[in-house]
Amino acid sequence: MPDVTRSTSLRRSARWPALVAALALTAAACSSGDDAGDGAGTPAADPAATAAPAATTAPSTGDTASDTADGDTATGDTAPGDTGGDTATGDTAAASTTPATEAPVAVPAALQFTAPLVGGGDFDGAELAAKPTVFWFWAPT
Amino acid sequence: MAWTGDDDSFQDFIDRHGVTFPNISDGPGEVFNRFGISYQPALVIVGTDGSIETVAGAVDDSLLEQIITEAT
Repeated sequence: MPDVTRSTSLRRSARWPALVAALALTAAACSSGDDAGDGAGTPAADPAATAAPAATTAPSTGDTASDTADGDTATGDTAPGDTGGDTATGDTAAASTTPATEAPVAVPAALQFTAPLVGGGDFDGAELAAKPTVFWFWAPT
Repeated sequence: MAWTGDDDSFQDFIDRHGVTFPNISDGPGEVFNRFGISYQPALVIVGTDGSIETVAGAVDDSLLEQIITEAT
């Protein structure tokens, strides 16, 4: 049984250095007292500032689906993803890719939006739900 | 959250300042409006509970550290 609370804590911890680095860059760019972009506060590039994807909960190692699939047959098999006639090994592989169940995270209204990213792709605010987040609003000058 | 420009000007700014975190292209200001921001620079802190705090203007290191501490 995964420890959901611990998982959330680890996820926050994993993201926090990226947030701190991002904010450090923000402060450097903004701290000149001028509008951002005058060059006086040029931040140093920091690979750690790249937003790292949040860690996901590790797949359960005690998966009951794979346990029940051991020695199963095509008849009466209830393991998820089982198409019948497969082997116990096949069932284990399919079941072990299922992430542990995690309580759904409520997305605050402020984060219910998507927007294009500079350089391509889209930003989905919902991905930041339940994570401390800082948006820096700037304009090029 | 880049505003008042186009992607070329945003990218130029990002390259000049070595910004490595993702930046939203918000030329029309739709996301600015969403957060009620009509000026820049500004910070918006969204807490884990969905609460929102706005900081207008530039921030120095100590204020930024305070913001980070309070956000966690």
